[in-house]
Amino acid sequence: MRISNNLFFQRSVSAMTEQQSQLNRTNIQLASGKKMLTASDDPVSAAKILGLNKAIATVSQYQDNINRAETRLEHEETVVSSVVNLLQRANELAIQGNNDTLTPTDKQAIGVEVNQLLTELMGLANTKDPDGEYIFSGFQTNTKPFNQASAGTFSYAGDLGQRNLQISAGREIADGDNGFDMFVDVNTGPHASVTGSTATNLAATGAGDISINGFSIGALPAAADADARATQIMEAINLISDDTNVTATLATSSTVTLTSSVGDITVNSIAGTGLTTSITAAPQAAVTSSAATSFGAIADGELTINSVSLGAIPAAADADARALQIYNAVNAVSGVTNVTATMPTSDTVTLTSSRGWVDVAATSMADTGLTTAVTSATGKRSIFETLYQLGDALNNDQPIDRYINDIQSAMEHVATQQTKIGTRLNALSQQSEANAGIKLSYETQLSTEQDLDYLEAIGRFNQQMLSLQAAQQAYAKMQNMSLFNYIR
Amino acid sequence: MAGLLGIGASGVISYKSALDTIGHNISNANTEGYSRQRVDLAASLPSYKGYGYVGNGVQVKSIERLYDKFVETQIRSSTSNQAEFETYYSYATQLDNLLADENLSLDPSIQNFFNAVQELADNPFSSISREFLLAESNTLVNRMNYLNGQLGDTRARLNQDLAVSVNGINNIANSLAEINQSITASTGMANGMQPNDLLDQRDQLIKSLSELTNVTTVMQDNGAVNVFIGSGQALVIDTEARSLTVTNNAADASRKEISFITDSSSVTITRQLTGGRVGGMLNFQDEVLDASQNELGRVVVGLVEQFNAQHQLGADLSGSLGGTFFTAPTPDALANANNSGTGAVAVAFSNLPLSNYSDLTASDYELRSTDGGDNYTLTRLSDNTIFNIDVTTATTLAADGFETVPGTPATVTVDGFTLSITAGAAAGDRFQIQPTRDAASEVALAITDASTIAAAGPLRASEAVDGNGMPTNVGTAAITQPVVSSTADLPLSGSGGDITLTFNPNAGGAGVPGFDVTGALPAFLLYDPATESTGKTLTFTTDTKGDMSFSISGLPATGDSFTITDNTTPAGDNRNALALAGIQQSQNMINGTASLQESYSQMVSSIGADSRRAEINMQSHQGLLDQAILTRDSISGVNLDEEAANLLRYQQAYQAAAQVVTVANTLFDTLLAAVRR
Repeated sequence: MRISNNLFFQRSVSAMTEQQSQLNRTNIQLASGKKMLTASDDPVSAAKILGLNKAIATVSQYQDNINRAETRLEHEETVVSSVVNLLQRANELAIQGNNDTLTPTDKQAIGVEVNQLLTELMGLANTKDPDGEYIFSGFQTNTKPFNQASAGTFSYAGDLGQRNLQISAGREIADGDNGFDMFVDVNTGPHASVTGSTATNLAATGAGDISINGFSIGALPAAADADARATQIMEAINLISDDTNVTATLATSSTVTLTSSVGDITVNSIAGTGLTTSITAAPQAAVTSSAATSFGAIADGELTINSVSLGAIPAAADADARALQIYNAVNAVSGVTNVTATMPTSDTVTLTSSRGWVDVAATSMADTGLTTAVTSATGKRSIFETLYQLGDALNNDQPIDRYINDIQSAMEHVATQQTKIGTRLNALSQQSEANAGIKLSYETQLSTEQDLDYLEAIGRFNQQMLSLQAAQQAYAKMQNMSLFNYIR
Repeated sequence: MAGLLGIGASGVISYKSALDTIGHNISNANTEGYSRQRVDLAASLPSYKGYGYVGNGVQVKSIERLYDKFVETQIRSSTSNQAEFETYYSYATQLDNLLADENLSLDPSIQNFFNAVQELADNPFSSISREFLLAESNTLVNRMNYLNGQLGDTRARLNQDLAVSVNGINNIANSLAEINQSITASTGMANGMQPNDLLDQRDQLIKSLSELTNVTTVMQDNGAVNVFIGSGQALVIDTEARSLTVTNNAADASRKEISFITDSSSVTITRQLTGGRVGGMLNFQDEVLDASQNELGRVVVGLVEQFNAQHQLGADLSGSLGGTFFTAPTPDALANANNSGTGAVAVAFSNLPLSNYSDLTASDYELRSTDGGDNYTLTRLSDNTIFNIDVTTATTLAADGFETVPGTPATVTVDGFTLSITAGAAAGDRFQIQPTRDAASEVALAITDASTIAAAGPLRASEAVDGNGMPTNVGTAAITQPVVSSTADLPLSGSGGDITLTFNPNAGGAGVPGFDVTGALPAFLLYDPATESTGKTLTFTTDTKGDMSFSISGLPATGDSFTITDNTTPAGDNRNALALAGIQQSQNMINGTASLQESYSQMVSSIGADSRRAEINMQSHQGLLDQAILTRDSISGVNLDEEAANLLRYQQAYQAAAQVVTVANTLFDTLLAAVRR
């Protein structure tokens, strides 16, 4: 085949240029450590690299979020465990103070320490994070959550907000708890009680008429009087206590007290059975007159408010008269009981305690025309108030057994919150490991996509240098080959 | 003797010509397009003598150009194809590198932007994280503007390049006309002998023309060649050249058209032009440039509209509802320059719900009045789907694929945008709708004050508390923070105030428990603690109270209540920041199949695939071209060794012929001497 000189020249030069450009490319690859220099080298891979870089950056951000949440939760955990320790000490003090052999002075000494614990608790509840934001004020992180407005009155200025951080695609975790859930919304007090009224000849009930926590206690035959009905009720409840977790005892001959081993008690359909229930919030209790038209006298000691007798009360003609009697009697001893009475309606007396709790105990209520139902399964009081009232009770030589329960309840509550924090920290560290694994796998893929295989590249580099040299030498030699050289 | 002298002289003259031709070949060894020439020698007609024919020496029959018409045609078509794909590739690869670059592309900016949103979610009250988000938003907007600017520059360069190429075609056409003239004249003068060098020049010109666009040629008897481009549009006929010009597209002035101009009219032939640089540019414009600018715009619109919508559902540091975060781009509706009616079309992106943005396509649309009255056709140009619209007939998206609301103006909603059509268009009037074309250049940052970034939720729910914030609820019921999905009735303080929910065992009638509602409708919400204590999602009447939803769980006691209020001082609240961050992962693009970044990646890989395809085509056509050039050069190219050998050969022959003359001279001298004696 004929080869024109022009073509030979062009071909040789373009071959060398091509080799040079390949050599240059390998050189840049070696210098940058990357397989792909421009997107068009491998467009599919380029798009993939974009995606992988995005995924890695996103996971890194999640890891940052996890670190932040961990820091905050660890901080919160430290604070909350201090609170638990503090409440344990308060519990010890309460048990120590609940001893009739102690003198009022001894009790006051204990009360002083309880007050110090309260101050410390306030400090813990108003903890700030390193950024200067309050950790227990919900979303209101720049508002101091807890203040003592006046002696015994505490206020919460935060909200119910709980901030979540994103720790993986589609998974968020709270980086703290609000003060309301932590310190305020704490259960206190005993369980519900049901008291028989004075009516006689109680009608039979059908199956399902009365249920406890959603479980029917079955049909009841007619009863001659309140006492008989109360006994029926007690037996019926205890028959199904395995289902309801509720056991019944006879507090008085006509009063059945229900105690739950797990959670709350819901009682329904009492009307018409001669039973009245009233579940109200502490610190209020309702005392309701029944519809009877004549009310017997009450002897001294039969009706007590917070263990203080209301004294003897004469017979009354109707419910309104009886209510007024009770109203006057309660207010007469309010200096001792810290309980005052008001009359929202003409036949109802409402009792309110300045200490936050009313305990009405009545014995032999038959014929008095009174139905009391005190109590609530879900009384709520802040830990601050409980501590304050404990201290106050100790200082004033008041009975404190109630507060022992309440402090234990508060301890349980905070410990539960502590467990939640622990669970979250656990979840964070697990997610962090999972994220690290995902990130590593992305990085491996990214490396496969874009990183240079140095061994291969160096081999290629040498080979390309060799071929370029060969091409150059061959060209130089061939250039000299011309017949004209021999025409002299 | 005279004969011998003549014979010798004919050899000397002929070999002189041969040597001249070799010299010509050697001199033109490096001339592009030169075809080597060869002297055709032939014996002269012999003289008859009684004893037979006596030779009369040699004569030059012709000087021949070594040339293969078939190979030349092949070179032209390969040149056209190669130039087309090379041009396409050089443009596409540039875009590809720009849009897929790890540092220059939009993707890292979107990533950094959303990382900054996450930082805000981590520290909603921190001015550092707020300012950081503002800075990253600025970078993002700048990057969007920059990328669109680069695409705009590419378009401007392409238009300029197109003008230069058209100018080149015109110049070549004129040169061809002139050279046709010379060739016909020369051929005539030379009794049909070919003017070889002029032919080479003409072939070279046609080859240059084929680099610009596909060319077909037809030889004429008089030696002239007629040149056609496109699908047979005559460019050069004999000695007449026609002229092309670049004009603006009537529908979209940013696009250029190529037309023939005559005295009376101009004929647009853009669509007919294929191959060569011009074909490559036009294909690139249609397949890559328009598409990628629209795709980029779609990503921008998707991000901006989603982010704005969510941002407006949040509350800023002062508790006010969020404003627009980005200045949103507006879609374009361009009236065709040839429209004769008075009709007008305005276009806007459809409003909420957010999912409408997933309907947005990267296509342009053409709205055409079919009868000058109520009937229009809307064509989606990417797949030529046609919507037949009668603006007086209401249609719905669900049933008809587009929604028409008759009125003045009538509105038509399709694919995530809404047209407002003002009557008056004449039949055949057209409007070009470009929903996302300029979006990336129009976007800007609307927010300037970092404290007005709405990181918080606009509402907050709380349990009933006393004046000291201490709980008064007895039951165990709890409420979740409300999530809003519209701004209806927000803030609550401006329309009815706080909302209170109070548990009532008989809220829905005797024995039907629920919450009595004040401050919102309906008047009660059913909630049965016995069966729904694990949590029930509640909402108010549609299109009121921000369309909030929240959930209540647990066992409320009678009279327990919850309050929903404006979130007036939401310092550490990050709910809306989390929702904003969620936009990054939400599959709200391309009919709900892709996230923002995925849709961007799809665009990058589609451009990559286009440029890859162009590269492969370019290489294969380069191979064909190389092969054709090799074949042509093996026929027409000058080999100096061959010429050197021929030089020696003809030199020797020349010397020998000269020797014949000497011998003739000697013979003559001998004869003279004999006579003198």
